[in-house]
Amino acid sequence: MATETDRRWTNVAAVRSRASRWFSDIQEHPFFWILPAALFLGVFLLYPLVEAFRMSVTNMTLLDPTDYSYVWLDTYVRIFESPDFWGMTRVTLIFVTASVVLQLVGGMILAQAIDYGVNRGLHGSIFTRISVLSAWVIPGIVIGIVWKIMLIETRYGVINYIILQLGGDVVSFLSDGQMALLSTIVANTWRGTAFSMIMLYAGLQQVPDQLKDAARIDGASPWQRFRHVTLPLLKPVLFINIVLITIYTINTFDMILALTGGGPGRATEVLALYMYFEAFERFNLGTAGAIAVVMLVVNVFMTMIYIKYLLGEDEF
Amino acid sequence: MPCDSMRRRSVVKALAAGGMLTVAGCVGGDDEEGGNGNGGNGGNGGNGGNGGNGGSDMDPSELVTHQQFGSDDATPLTFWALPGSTPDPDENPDSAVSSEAFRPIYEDWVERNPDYRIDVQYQTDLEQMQTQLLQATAQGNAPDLSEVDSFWIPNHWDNLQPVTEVIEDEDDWFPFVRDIVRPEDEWLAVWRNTDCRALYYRTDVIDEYADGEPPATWDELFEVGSEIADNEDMQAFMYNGGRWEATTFDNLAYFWAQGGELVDDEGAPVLGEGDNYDALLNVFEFFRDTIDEGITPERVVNIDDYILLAEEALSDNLAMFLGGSWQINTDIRPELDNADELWEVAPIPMPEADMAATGTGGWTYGMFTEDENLQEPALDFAGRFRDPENMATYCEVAGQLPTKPSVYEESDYFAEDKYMQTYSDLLENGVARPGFPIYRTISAEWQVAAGRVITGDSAPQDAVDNMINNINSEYDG
Repeated sequence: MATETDRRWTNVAAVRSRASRWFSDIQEHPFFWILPAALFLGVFLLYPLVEAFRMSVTNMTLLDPTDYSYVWLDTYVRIFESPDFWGMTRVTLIFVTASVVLQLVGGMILAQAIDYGVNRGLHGSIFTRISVLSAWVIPGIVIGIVWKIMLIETRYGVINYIILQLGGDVVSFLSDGQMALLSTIVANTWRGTAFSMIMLYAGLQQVPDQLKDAARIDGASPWQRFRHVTLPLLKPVLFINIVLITIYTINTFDMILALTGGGPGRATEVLALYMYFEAFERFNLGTAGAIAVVMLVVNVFMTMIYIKYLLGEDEF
Repeated sequence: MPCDSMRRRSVVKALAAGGMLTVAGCVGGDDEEGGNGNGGNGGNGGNGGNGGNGGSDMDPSELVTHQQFGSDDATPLTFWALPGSTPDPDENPDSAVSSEAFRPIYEDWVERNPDYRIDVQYQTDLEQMQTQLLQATAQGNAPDLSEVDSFWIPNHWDNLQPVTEVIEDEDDWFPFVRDIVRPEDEWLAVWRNTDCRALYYRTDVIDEYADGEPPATWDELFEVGSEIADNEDMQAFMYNGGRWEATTFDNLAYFWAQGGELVDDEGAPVLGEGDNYDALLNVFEFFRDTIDEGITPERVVNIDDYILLAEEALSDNLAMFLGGSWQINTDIRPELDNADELWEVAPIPMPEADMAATGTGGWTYGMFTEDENLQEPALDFAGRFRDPENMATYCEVAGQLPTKPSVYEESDYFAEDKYMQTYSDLLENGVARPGFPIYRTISAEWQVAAGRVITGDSAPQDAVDNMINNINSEYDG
């Protein structure tokens, strides 16, 4: 009887030991730790990506998504042969380039100003940060509507009223193609500068004061200190900032939709808005998928350029 | 420690019991749905649960609630509706007046059909409703009954069930109604209300510059418009020119009046062919001329809401505009004490005096169920809105136009209101948009082309050619 009990206990101990080893193996194997993240990325990132690519080689429509056939590259050929597509690509390029440059410059100026204020204990730096940040947290649609009200082209428009009071004429902010594009760039800069400011302000906190003090003692001017001390140390933050705001700006469509609707004509229709119209106005999921893939390629390409030129070949 | 363990066990048991009950509730719900003999209808998720109305012995007024018309124990029909069609004014304050018009009609139906109830699924997004209705019909699980935008009807010609038996006097409908809802012998929907586009003009200004006669042709429009632009501190004429549907819909009247056709019977675009092309080019040259002649400001490319036109008008900044029939009651009368003296409506000026057209829209009731048991109550529901009195009551409170000419003679309001009488005349030449899928592309390209022409970014012919190329390319796939 005792032997039987011992045998049972021995078996239980063996099972426990095997289970323990098994759990130990699981704990030590990276696969199981990566699995949740991999599943999350697979379901919410990879699958939509693959699905968008699959859609792009079909003639799928939203009217009956189950009834479609594979047309492979026909949709891409049709898009690339359309003169309007290249017009929208040009608009996107101008919009993105100008927005990124202005957001970066504006963000840097604000970050420097706030850093200066904080270092000297000036009042209002927190208020300034909150004010700028509020632009960033407002939804794009609301920003579009707010700017639309500001830019109304009658004597009742906020900005035109001020211009008229100053003796000027009503300015066609939204009905002239070039002015409309400029207006969208300004509105997008207003919206996105806060993000750059946060990033760069955080970067500035990492620049050692001793280096700037040493440069000052060596007789470096403020510009020289910024150019040769601050800027090189900000390079990693700048890189991340540029990549992120470029991607954000390329994908912007909500604010433009509310502000100009892509008009007049197609003067402010960027690729992201074109994709939205194709999917939800014309119901062409295939074409929208193809534009999404083109935008993805552009995003990846630009990211690689930034990596190559800003971080250098070695780090790449 | 034992206490903690007990608590943990209790919590686990409570959660497990709750879960079981939930599962049982779900299963029970499914069984109940499955047992009602109402196959073939589907929902889109709709608007959540319904507390129920109680038994059939209750008063009809108690049986009509936001989500259900009829008693809990009656056979259900699914009904997709707009939020404004609720009988409960508290549910949608924006359309509280309409709710009061709907309620007696719904109560009447409940009284006449005690064995049936309507489960309402409100559709809050119009674009999504169109897509979902198309998808539901394609997959064979359309609702039994639905409010259907008149513009969508041609897409559902194959799915809608005949409602001819509740139409009654077939001649007592405007011609555009018959064109859309009666593609062959059968009527496929009951067109509840409509609207149209018209020329709104300031009577004092037109009195001064045109002896009180509003312009009937483009030449007259340019003549009087130039006089106004030169002598008054206001814009002469404005219209929808932004990136939105009304830029196409409103201005299509010029194209239709010239005999232009957008698509053929199969839904293929033909607007670039023969006389259609000439008519189209005329319209876009007209856009350019309104700018060049100085009667219209370039900023019409930003007009993407009818209210913007009304705002210009109400601020004494505009003498004439191409607006919607509802605007007199929704935008102008509420704001001006002397609205009836100051603003009048007239037919849209056309290339020639003998041409006439106006775009018409509105909502219908369509029946999708093929279940004969459900068709009878569904037909009775749709038929409630064919009744001239019900139609007049609803249209009056909602600021809409009836689709039956007799209502403009028999209803006091529609017979006596001068604007309504003008709209009645205009509706004789009403044209509805073709509901084929390619219309979406036509409309989008029209808006782009209009913007380019108005801003001078493209010559009219270049814009039209580009528009036609894009539409044909889209259609050919």
